[in-house]
Amino acid sequence: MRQLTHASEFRDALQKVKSERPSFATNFYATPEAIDGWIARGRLFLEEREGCLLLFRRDQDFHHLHYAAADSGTLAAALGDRRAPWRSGTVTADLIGREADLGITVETFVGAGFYRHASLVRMSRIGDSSSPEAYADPEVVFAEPQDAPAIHTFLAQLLDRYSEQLPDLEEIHAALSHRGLLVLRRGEDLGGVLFFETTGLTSVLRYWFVNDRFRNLGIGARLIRTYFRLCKASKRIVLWVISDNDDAIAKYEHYRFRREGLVDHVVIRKGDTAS
Amino acid sequence: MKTIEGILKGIRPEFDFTTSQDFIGDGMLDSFDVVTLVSDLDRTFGVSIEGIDILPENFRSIAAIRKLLEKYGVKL
Repeated sequence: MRQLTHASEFRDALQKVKSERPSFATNFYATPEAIDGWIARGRLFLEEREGCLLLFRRDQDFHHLHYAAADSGTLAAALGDRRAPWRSGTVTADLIGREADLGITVETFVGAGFYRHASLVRMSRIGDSSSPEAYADPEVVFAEPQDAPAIHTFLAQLLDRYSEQLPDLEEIHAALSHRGLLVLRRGEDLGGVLFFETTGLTSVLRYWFVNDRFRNLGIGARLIRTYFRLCKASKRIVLWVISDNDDAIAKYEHYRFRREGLVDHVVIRKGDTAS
Repeated sequence: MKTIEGILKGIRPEFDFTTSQDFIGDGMLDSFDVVTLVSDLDRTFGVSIEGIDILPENFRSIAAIRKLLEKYGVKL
């Protein structure tokens, strides 16, 4: 397992896997910009196996595992190597696709000692440019750089770090600089936060949370209505939600989000020596 | 016979794919949609697009997809 220092190392290793075998499967969907950012922060590690590439992204005290494999056999062999150094720590993997296509992949990970932790479903809302959101709320504002630590703490208290990809401070600052973080303050506290990323005609709603102390005051509605106004040029808004969070799904459906066919099965393997 | 445009419209009906030369940069397709697209192209045109060809540049535009299918012997 070696640390990556340049994106070309990853691309070369990936090309090697691709060129050796006729088929190829992966759970690595990161953009080149994201890869460069993780490398710059010393977060990416690579392990090359016969017909399989394992990529580890450090996150707090565990790693996210991404793979690029010729087939389930090479993936199973790579995951099953008992001498591999990564087996001493906690590792998670996001197995994403249509439910009907994921069975073998999930079985491969379970066979290597991973267990199912959570499942997420993707939902989307198709915009209607003929009825633009005219809503304006003076209390819903873009977060300021000084809000970053409080936002990080706020999200860390609410998110499941294994399945919901807690953003680090650098990501929060990047979102601030792109005007992708809305807050509604209540005195010195954050009443609610909405975190989004927009690319072209699609916007991704990453997080939308209300402070438990300020529930049932309409803060969530004010945040999301402001968001809809800001991204009225987006034809599509997508999000991932925990599949058994019925309350959240009902709320999204209220705002015209509908389930797509994609699921994300999050699996975890605790380290062989971890308590 | 389904067309490339028809398949794209089936995946993301909200977008007009004839107006873009960079579906990914314009936010019309993401990596997950590409997985669906590959599956639909395979089924519709009777090919099996290999992993080595599942790269963003092969799915950026209708011309790029057409070129990829022609590589697999599809006559369009």
